[in-house]
Amino acid sequence: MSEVGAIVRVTFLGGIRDRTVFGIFILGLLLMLTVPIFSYFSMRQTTEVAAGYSLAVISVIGLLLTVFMGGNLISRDIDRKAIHTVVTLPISRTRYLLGKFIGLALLLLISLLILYLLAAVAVYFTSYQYPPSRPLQWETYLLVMISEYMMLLVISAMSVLFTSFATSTFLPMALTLAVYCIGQSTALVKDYLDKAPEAKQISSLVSFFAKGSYYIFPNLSAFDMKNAFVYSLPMDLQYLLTVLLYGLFYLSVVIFMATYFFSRRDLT
Amino acid sequence: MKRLSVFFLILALCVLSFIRVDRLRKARTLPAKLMLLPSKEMTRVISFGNELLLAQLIFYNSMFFAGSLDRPPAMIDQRELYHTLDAVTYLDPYNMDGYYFAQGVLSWNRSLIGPLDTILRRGMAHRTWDWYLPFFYGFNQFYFLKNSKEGAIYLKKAYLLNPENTYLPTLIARLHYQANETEVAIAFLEEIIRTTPGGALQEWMKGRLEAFRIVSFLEAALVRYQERYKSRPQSLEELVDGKILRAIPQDPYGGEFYLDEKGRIGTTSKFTDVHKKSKGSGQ
Repeated sequence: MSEVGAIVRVTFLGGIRDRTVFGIFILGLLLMLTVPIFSYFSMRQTTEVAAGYSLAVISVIGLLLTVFMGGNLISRDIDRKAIHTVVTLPISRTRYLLGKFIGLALLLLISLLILYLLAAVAVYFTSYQYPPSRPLQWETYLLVMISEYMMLLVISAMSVLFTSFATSTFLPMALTLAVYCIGQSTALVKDYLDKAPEAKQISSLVSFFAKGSYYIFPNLSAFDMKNAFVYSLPMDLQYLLTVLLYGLFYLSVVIFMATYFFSRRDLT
Repeated sequence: MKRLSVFFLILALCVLSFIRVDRLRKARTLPAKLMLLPSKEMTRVISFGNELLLAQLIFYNSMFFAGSLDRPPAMIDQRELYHTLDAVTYLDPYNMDGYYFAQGVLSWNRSLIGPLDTILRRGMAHRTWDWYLPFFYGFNQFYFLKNSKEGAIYLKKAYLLNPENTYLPTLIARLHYQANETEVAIAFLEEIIRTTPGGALQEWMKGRLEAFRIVSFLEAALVRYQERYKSRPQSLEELVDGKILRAIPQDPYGGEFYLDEKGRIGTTSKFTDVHKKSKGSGQ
């Protein structure tokens, strides 16, 4: 396992030194400073707006970090010819890929922890000045963070899958973004197709593909629990646990597929 | 030195051009516009998991649009505002800004009360702890739609969510009375008095309760008169002449009970203290 640890370490440190990643992180911090300005215009829910805005910023920054770090995960090693050194080492490609994924997950975790901490400070001070209609539940904040992190891990796994066979940096990034957009909307589209009367006029082929996407792509909207914290709603722990397990199983399947493709890839 | 002079020259030109742009921009300022949105279902899909943020952005757009108007919103503006606020509360059904603003801008147009009530019902289904929403809904019912019964039901919900609204119980009781539900008004006041600590407020409600009990007593006398004489009396005095009552009870508010043209019991005091009023106005 020490080889995996070394890959994790290199990936993590490489991510910290990456200027693009650093830039995205700084952008996130700057956006956090705009929380009071954005929430100031609210009529009756300043704290709720501050909380919703902060969580949305983290969500977007988390996505950008995942997409850029994931896209560069293996292609950078290939560009720098470092991959040739790695494949000659006594370490399996599966372990190499796992190390890369864990390194990415660790970097995401640290970034999210810092962003969530700053957001908590911003929301706390806003709530001090403008008390919300219901007291903020900080334990829910923690659960929202866990759920969001799991969603980003699933996207990271998809990113790793795309980098396992793609030859350019751009393709995995574009595909990961596409998966994010599809994953966020399939549940809503399926609900619409199932319930809306006007959906009966939609062609059965479109309906088939839309519903098929719901079952194939990760259902990312299930991980969204932001409004539970924003409006201090009761958290369904059983639902949260099920969603987390779903995320864990989904990313395991994706990583399994990624290692399969990567182990058969011609890296010469 | 030469380089510095060139720099300051360019800087001066930059400032001058900015001043010019600023003037031109102000002269051609276009009126604020509401966002053109696809259907609310599609808007949710394209939010890609950021419904709360998108809802707040759309809300800000509608607020700035209404604020930029130099006249009250015209009918077409109100309809557009309804669609955007409907989208706001669909994307984020807990968004109080959306409900509050919708009540403020849409309630004064009678044709939009129905759509507004649809928005408010969405709010009541989600913000179950919030007394404002049933209050807005109840207010629209009794004030704009003249539906006292529905108004009383929703104001009661608002009162139960926030009992600090001490003006509500007597209003609710009055609405029940206007909806021919005097017994409901009495039962409601009895319950509120039972759970309210003693003091001026309790005394105030007791006064209203006493008046409604008399109204209920007179309504029962009207029924007995109809049963005995198979006709409706033209005035309350006929209840005395017909030996149903010995005398017409006195209104605790200082007014006099009468029978209105619809055959309902009314009072000249309109359930407000006539003595105090007379003193206050110096009569």
